[in-house]
Amino acid sequence: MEHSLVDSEIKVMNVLWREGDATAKHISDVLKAEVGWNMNTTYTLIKRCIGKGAIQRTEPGFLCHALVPKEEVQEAETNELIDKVYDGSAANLFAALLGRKTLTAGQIERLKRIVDDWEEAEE
Amino acid sequence: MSLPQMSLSGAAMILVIVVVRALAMDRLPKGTFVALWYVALARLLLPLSIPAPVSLWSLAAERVPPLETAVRTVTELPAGPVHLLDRAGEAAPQTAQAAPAAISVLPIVWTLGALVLGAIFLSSWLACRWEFQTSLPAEDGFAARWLREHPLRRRVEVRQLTGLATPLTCGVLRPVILMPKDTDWGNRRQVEYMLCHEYVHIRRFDALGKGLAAAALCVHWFNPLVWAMYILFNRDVELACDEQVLRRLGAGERRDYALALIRMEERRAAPAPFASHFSKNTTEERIVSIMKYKKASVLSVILAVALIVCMTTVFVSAQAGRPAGDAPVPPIGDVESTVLDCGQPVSDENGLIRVSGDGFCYYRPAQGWQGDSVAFGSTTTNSEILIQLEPLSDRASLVDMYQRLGMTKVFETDGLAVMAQTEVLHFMDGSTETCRDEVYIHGQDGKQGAGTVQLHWIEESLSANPGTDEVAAMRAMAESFTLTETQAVRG
Repeated sequence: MEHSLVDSEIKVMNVLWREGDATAKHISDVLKAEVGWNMNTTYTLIKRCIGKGAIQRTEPGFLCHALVPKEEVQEAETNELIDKVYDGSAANLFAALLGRKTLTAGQIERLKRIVDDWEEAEE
Repeated sequence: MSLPQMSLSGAAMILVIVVVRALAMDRLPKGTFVALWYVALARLLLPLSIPAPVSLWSLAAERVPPLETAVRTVTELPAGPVHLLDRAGEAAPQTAQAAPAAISVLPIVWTLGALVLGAIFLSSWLACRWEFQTSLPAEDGFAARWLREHPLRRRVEVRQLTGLATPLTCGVLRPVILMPKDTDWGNRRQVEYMLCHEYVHIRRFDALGKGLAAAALCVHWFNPLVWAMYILFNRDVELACDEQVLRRLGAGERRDYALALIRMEERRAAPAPFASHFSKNTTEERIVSIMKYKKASVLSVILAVALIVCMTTVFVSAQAGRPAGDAPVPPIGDVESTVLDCGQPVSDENGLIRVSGDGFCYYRPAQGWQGDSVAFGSTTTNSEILIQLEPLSDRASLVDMYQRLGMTKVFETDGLAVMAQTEVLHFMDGSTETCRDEVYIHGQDGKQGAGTVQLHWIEESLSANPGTDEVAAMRAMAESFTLTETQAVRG
């Protein structure tokens, strides 16, 4: 598992694999039509790919070049990334305050029992 | 209305809602509490209040019969006697230095707190929005089809995002429902529950409400009850949303809906075997609330509406007639401007009517008070009179109170007591003026106008202290009042 990218990064790579080397501007235009991203979003994702060593950018015209072939890239496991959006942001500060915390397996069991017992009591 | 006043009246309302919530959580539709929180939010964020016929303060004021009335006047002496200025000169520098220090620290602390909290909210919101930008169009057409069957005036888009555990909605005017990347589109029922939940959030502009709650928290960060409101508001929004979903789907679906919710939580559950299994959490609150769901009875809906209307009327109008000071003053009513007939009546912040014109200004208390407490001053000689009327039953206790406040009793007869002290007024531009602060305490039976009283007092004190500068100045002023006063009262 040499290169693990998330689906949005793979979208960017797809443009390069399909069309060969392309400028950031071109990638942005393609993805705007394809998935509705604005320029900043695409540029951010290109930067992330560069950071992960999947893209090399050369100076004249910011030409992007795929460093890894399609076969060597694996889509990141979704489970590992669950709630990275919240965990990575300052919203996390308020998570405890709002009771938005992850539950333990035991707590989940307890919740299921509440629902089941309820149904029995009603019927 | 000042910020502490808004915070205080908001806190009073939050307290009431917390109590009502604790007593009637299961008996009233959950939307009731969300509506009440919105009233509290309006109270916290809107500085103006809407005048209403009934408010707490007017009710309180009406219950106190004004048996005796104190008339408090602050009279600037146009040509102040030397010894008064001297006394003021000692006091002025101390007050002038102490005041800015006490006043300037609190606003700075408040501003810092509000900015820090605002920055936290804003940065977290921006960070989320930034991440949401990288979402991809939904893989399955089911969501789009479902939304076509449930149209809204705003166009709703469904996208998918890696890293999300549960669906969420982003945006108010152009809402985007973000589904987790690994949504099981095959499980139509579960997807429908998720969509329905988000759809209700969008319909109700809950994202906007949460933003307003955050704004209120930033402004009132020093108020612990506003923190309580923030937490409970966020919870109640979810509970009300669940309730609305069940209303659409039918009570029979509640078991499956609850289980779907648990499954969502399970996806991000942490495998920590030693954690307490019995701690109550917000998800449990939601599950129990869902299982308890019943179709709202007509009675509970009527009760809820009555509750909301009642709370809105009482609290939103609470400030309509409230003075800047502590004493309740009845709301402004009709002024007998014909009696004075010398200008447009203007109500001031103390709940008093000021009628000014042609070199004189008159102050009349608002409706609900006996009409004998007219006081006046000459605007041409730059004198200013402020009157505060206090409904107290006993003149002796009023005299006592003002003595404890540092005033001296000038004299007292069976109809009248006069208290006085010298005061230094500090103005915003840093200048000061020396004033004589007088309090006239008189009974209702005398039916004397304050002007008459003042003249009466001047004459009494003149005979007691002949030749005093102070009294001479007062007399000069009183003489300039006399003619107009007589005309006004007789006219």
